[in-house]
Parts: sequence; C-alpha cells; structure tokens
Amino acid sequence: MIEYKLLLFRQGRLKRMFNNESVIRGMKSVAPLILGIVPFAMISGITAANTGLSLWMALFMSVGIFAGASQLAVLQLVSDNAHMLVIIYTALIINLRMMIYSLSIAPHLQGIKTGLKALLAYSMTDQSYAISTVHFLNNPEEDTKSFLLGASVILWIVWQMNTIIGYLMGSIIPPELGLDFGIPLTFIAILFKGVAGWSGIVAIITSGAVAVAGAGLPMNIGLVLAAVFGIAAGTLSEVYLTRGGDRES
Amino acid sequence: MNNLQLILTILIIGLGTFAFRFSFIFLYGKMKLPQWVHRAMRFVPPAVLSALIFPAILIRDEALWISYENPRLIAGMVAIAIAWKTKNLLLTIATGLGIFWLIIFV
Repeated sequence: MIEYKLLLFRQGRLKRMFNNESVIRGMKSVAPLILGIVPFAMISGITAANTGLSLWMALFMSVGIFAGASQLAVLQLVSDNAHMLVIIYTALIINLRMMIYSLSIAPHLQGIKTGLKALLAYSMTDQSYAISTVHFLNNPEEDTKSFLLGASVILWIVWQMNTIIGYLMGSIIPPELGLDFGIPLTFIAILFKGVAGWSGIVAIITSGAVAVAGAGLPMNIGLVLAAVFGIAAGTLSEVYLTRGGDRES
Repeated sequence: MNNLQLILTILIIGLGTFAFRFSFIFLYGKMKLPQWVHRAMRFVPPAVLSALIFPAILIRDEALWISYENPRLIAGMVAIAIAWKTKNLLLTIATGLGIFWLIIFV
C-alpha cells in the first residue's frame, strides 16, 4: 500500500513538478566537487565532537545552518566561551554573501511556488549556486528549479553524512592532514567556469587582492568589501572593453 | 554555554542564514531591478569565490605567508593553473589535494 502510494506520488506530482533529466544534470554537475567537500564535512564533524557537542546537537547544527565556514566559526567561538551575541553576529556576517547569491540567482527561479523557493533557498550552497547560475547563463532552456535542486540535494546529503562520519571517527583522523584545504580547492575548481572574458579576470584579481588586504579587518568585513569591489571592477571593465570595440561574450 | 543557549544560538543563525538565502529569491517578482544590476550579477561567482580562495591560501595565523614553503599556496597555484587550462573540476581538486599532501608528508 505504502509502495503504491509512493509510486503514485513519484509518477504524479513529483514528475510534473520536476524534470528528471535536469535534476540528474544538476547532480552530475556538482559530483566532482564531492572530493573536496567530504574532507571539509568531516572536519566539521570532528570539530563538533572536540568542542563537546552531542552527536544530535552537531546534526542539528549542520542541518539547521548548513553553511560550513560559519559552522566552524561557531564551534571555535563556543570553545572560546564567547558571548552568544558575538557568535550569532560573526556567523551571520560570514553568511551575508548568501544575500548576493540570492539576488543573482533570483531571476532564474521565478514562476514557482513560494514553498519550493524556500526549499531551494535553504539548500543552496556556494558550490551549487555558482555551478547553477553559470549553467543557466549558458543553457537558457534548462529547467532551473530541477537543476538547482539536483545540485543542492546531493551536496546536502554528502555534507550531513560526512559530518556524522567525521564526528564518529574524529579521534582516528590526525589534525595535521589539513582537511580544510578541500573547500578552497572546490572554489578554485569552479572559479573559471563562468568567467566572462577578461572582465571576469579583472573581477577575480580585484576581489582577491581586496580580500587579502582586508583579511585583518574585524568580523569578516574584508570578504564583503572584496565581493563588492570585485563585482564593480568586473562590470566597469566590461563596459570599458565593450566601448573600445573589443567585443566580449 | 549551556545546551539551551546553544540550541537558541543555532536556531537564530539558521533562521538568519535562511533569510539571506531566501531574501531576493522571494522578493524578486515584487520589485523591478535596473539593467545594470543584472549585468553586475554575472560577476558575483568569480568575485566571491576569489575572495574566499586567496585569503585561504595566502594567510596563515593572521599573517601573509608568501613562500615556497607554504603548501596551501603552492598546491593552490597549481590547482588554479589546472582549473584555468582544463576547467576539469575533479582533476583540479585531486591534483590540489595530492600536491598538498605530498608537500606536507614528504
């Protein structure tokens, strides 16, 4: 009976709502990044265990926040006995970039139910966002909600599973493995995916320079400044290059 | 920090982070954005990713570390070259991790 209902559900509502091929394309597009995400998710589990969180609390955190860098910052501050408001403030500043992602991907996610928008928003990560927007620009016919869902869901599952594995195996894994390096590597892998010609390079160099120069600024403000300067430099250089007759894609 | 405070902290951060992610996806149809915003948005992925990458490979213990002895810098630069040339995600990450561990352990 249950199987029958599931079958009805799958063939009826879900099939009408999502395009299977797009979901699978989304999954495939982020699959190579799993290699970099697994070690980072394990670190997050290991750190939660070392900070003294129960497994349930660690899972509550990784499901409830689902943004790795901010989760690690929270754990660090908890073990430093920081004030609750400082922890909340720091984590939210780290995640502020998600608002730019939201603005950037919004045009591709219109004409769908608010509940589905909420699900897609909740599960969106740096990686699924970046891969998807670049893919949408190059493939205007794509079923965007299905593609993004596929990309996000697979990373969500990998993240939660490996957080648990990291938590349970924490004591076996030596910290000098430097597993945190996996995440910058996933960013490097997708960095050039959507670069719009030379102006994309201008954005990358400007933003990277500002981020490094501003790294000492309090509360991750350097990251936000770098993004703003990088986006501005890229846009301005594109305007300039186009005017000069040097046409860009 | 007791358990209740921790639950509350996680809950507030989770809701706030969701609000960031949801904000414009939700508001988009309800407002009109100028054309230049759309143009600028195409530079969000390279700008934000770059802002996350370079501090991660160049800064250690709050100081700039530009040296051939910095394994993250060396492995990161090789990975950037591979990503630029091949655009192959798996090859980039695998080579980056491989070189990183090679430098650390050998």
